[in-house]
Amino acid sequence: MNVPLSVIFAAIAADAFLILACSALVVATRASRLKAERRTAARLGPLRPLLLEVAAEDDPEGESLRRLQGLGDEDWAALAPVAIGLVGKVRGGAKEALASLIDAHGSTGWAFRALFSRRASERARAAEMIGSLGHVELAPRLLPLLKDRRTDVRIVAARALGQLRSPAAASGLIEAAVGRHPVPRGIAAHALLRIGVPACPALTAALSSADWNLRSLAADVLGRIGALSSAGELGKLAGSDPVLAVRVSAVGALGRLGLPGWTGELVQAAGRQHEPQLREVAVEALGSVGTPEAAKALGLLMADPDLRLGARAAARLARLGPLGRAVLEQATAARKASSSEATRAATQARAALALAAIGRVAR
Amino acid sequence: MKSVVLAVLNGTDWAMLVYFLAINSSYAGLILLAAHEFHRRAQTRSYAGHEDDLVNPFTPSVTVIMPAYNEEAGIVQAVKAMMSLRYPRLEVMVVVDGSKDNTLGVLQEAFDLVDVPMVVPTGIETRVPPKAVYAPGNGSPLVVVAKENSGRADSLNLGANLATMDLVCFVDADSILDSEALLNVVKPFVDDPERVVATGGVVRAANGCTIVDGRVVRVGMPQGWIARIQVVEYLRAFLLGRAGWSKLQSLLIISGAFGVFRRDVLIEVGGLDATCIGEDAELVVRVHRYMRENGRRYRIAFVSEPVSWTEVPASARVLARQRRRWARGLAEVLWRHRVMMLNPRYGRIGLFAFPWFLLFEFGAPFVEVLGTPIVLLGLVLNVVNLYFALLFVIAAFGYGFLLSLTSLAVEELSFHRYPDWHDLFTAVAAAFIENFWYRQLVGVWGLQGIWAALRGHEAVWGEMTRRGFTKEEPLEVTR
Repeated sequence: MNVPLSVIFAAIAADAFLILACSALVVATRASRLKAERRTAARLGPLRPLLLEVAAEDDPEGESLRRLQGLGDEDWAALAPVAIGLVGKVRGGAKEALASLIDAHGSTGWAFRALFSRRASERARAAEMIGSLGHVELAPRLLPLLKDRRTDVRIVAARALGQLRSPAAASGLIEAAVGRHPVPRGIAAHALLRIGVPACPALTAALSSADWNLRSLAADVLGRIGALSSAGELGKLAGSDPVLAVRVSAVGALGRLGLPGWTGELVQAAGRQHEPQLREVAVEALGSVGTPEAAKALGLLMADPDLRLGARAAARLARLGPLGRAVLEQATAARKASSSEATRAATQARAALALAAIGRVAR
Repeated sequence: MKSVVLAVLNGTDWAMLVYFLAINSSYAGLILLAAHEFHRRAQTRSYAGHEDDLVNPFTPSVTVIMPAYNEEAGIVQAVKAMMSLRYPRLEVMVVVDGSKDNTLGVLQEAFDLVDVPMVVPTGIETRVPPKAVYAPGNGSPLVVVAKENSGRADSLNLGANLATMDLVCFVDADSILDSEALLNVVKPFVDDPERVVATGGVVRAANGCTIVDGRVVRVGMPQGWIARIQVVEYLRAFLLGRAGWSKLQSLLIISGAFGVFRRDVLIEVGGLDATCIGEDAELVVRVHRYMRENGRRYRIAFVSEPVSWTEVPASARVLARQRRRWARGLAEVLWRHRVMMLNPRYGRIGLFAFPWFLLFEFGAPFVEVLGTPIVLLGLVLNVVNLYFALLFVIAAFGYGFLLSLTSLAVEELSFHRYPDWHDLFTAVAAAFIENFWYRQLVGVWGLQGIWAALRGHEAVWGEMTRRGFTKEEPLEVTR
């Protein structure tokens, strides 16, 4: 077989060129990165202590802050990532001082403009900065980003709105959890949880949404906020919503509210006729309610053939204090009982008591 | 007759050439996809939101399951390191798989373990029940399960049954995780909770690294060439290759040294198959199959950021055993799930990933081993000329070296984990040397593994001698 010499030369040349180019790229990348790191470290060296003084509110005369506010562009470029990283982690006077530093260098203005940038990473960084700086007045500007085509931008916007704790953002966050480009449920829920009680009206309204995702989300968050006034709505969903996920969320929320009046509904939800997920949450909820009725029901559930559920019931009893402990001890006393159910309950009770004895009651 | 032989030889030579061009080009494609993904991730790194995930009550909880067989040397340090990972709701479970050494004893002593009569929920069928379950006297979230020896897969299945958290993370007892590794590898579950059912984190070679208190504090290249070549190989195949497959939503392998699964899905599919030696890949393929057969939307993602560091074989003997096992495992997986091959029902897994793995992973050992001798024979018989042989060398080895260099370049641009210039040059040398004996040896071991699969010999994992991660000095593995 004959291969033209030109093909061989072309192949060798291409391979050699690419190998050399790749090698050069590696070396050049490393050299320039190390150089940049050294330069940044040299600039940061004297500035970092000043920044830490500001962040620790250890700058009574405001001298460090003034010096940092007067930095040139290159020094600020080195310090900005550190300052922006810090501002989201501190509160009170330190946050205000750092925010004024960042404002002084025009970064807030940049963030405002960058919200409309064509580059997703800039939109996200801008949203992050606005959230960290606590610019509540800019919350409405973040709302459109909840529908951004890029997931990371939507997530950052939701987080920022949560940090701002703006009640006006509650409806937007709830709606953003569904649709073609949704905010991940856990992220939206956490942001709503951070807003807290002011988000309750919007969340309560969402309990009657036609979209089951929203009903479920709202129930989850209301339970965690502790919105006692929504118990009635939650009770209805727990008993009759056609979607299992909503019933699970509603039962979980009722448990978190801890209202003794709903024990009957929770006992019903833990019944064997229901799906395992619902029963599991109902057991948790019964443990949170902690009434004698709930303890009795948990005692019976320890004998359930679903061993995971039984273990959970026993663990919840162990957390109930004397009331639960009495039920557990009663179950262990039935050790020699002939029925397999009693034996199962006794085994689960012994395990829960043993774990409780070493402080492991969270299982 | 002679003309027929020559014609066959002629055709085979060209087939080999095309094969090498195709396999290397497909790898080049995967590397480019991975590079694009890394670039995107680098941009998002500053707003990844780990601090938020740490305080978010909706972040899924994780049980880390470590099977341990004769791990006395390093198990205590490994468990302490796992328990100190940055993660909000974490449970660590060690399944002591009938160790012949004092693995259980050192754990009992270090963590003040007490026997708890825990009830094992049924879920995944296991070969043996636990002999005892222990928990620390101080209530910290550790569970130690003692059982008769029944293998890694069975141990992990038992652990999954006992796990109480939303997700289970499989690690090896000698895996060293970066402190944020769990936050990173769980991130896809947070960002896409409806669809993500499993994620895999990248595994890198711990040999040559300095390890203090169960954490890699300084990354370095190992001493021997076998380990050095594996550093480059892991970069190319595990980091970039898998990132590329993940981008194509066709990831078939999640390393057993660092993989996370939704517990409910794991139980639904029946856990790891203890009869398959490639159980990690088999599980991922089974999840793909199960989800597609049930018409469920799902995603299996590879995360390049978190790092699990693991000892790689430093001797040819241990490496041979590992590679035979891998080849055999792949053959078993492809055979067991052959119904997926070129089957449109399984989407891109059946139509693209499966044929690729058959052609370029299963088939590679045959071509690696036979390619060079056939071309040499062709030269001797004057079927091919010197120019063709040169072209073959460029396609098989020059292109291969280029791919390894590209991988090093992507690593340098994205992660730059190896700080010393010396390490960098050593890696380049390893990438070159790999082509001239390592690939062929790995090919031979691969063929042995495939042969063992065909003959149905009983699969043996083999033991590994751990040095333990307790000394503040570069880790060199002795076996």
